[in-house]
Amino acid sequence: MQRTLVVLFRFMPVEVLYAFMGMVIPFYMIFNRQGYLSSYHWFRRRFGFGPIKSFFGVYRNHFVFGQVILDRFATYAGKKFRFEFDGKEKFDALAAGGPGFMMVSSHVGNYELAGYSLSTEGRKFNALVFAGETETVMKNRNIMFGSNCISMIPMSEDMSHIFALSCALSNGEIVSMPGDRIFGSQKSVRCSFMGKDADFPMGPFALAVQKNVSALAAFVMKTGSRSYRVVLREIGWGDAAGKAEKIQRMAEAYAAEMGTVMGAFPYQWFNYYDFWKEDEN
Amino acid sequence: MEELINNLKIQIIEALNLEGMTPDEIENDAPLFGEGLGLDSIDALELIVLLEKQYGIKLANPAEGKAIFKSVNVMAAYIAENRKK
Repeated sequence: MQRTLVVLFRFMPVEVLYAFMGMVIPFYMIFNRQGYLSSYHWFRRRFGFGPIKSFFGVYRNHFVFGQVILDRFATYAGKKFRFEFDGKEKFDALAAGGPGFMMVSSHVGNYELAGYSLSTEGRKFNALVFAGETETVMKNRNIMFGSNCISMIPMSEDMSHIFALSCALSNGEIVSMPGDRIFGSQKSVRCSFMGKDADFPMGPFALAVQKNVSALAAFVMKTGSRSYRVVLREIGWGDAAGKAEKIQRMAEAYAAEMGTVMGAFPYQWFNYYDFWKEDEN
Repeated sequence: MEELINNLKIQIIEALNLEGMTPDEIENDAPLFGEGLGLDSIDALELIVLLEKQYGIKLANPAEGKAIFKSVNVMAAYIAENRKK
């Protein structure tokens, strides 16, 4: 299926597959109850939309999610997207020289395309990815990223990824990892996000603090059928003193930046689960 | 070696915030991860930083990392052989 998509995109404009996907989404909304509910509650609880507006919000959210997935395959097939940048000077300054630094991503917009749009000035860019990615995705990523000094570090049960990430930062390389989902270690940091406290993974912030490196929150948001905005924001720990306080401050800065971006792009939130754990009891 | 092992245990307890635990409660050969102390990936990061800060050891090869942290005994042997301070 994925290989077929790559081949199809060589001959077909993205808009044709967008239209086809739009017809499939209602079925997805019916049969993927968890995805539907989490998205519906996102609009109801975080934005105060009414039931009808939230219902159509879910459709639009799923549509954009489908678009960003198709855009990845379109990129593998050689299609080009336009990128405008907001805050790129921070990335350029860090990439130009000095110690390694971190990029903290999230499951919003289309972060993977950041790898195609940002030049690392020859510095190696290490992206932490889920080990379960399919062979087609990994193969195409490696082809696309190979020319851009990007390598994938799969998350591993034996924690070898931690050693790889730490070594990369020690060697002055760039490390990218998601900051919104808790995986591996269950240690978390509680931060206010979109008006309510939520748990964020401690890992990326602990890594930045422990290795004493700068970090950027990075968001690649879809602005049109063939365009994206790359938002880059420095997240630090300010004047916090202790390790725990630094981690907390950094996570709060990340949550605040993500909150601002989601306020501008509410339909590009792709964490399809009970992020705030509101329905557990 | 005895002294190094004891110091290492104290440093591990401090770094990982293992409140209420004493060095005697950490067995020299018990696995640090999984069973044994049951440490996780963020604890592994703490141990990496501990090696860097306390002993000047920078792990250059990610593949050997997990083996070094197999137990306190293995860790201490690696430190004794590779320490820079």
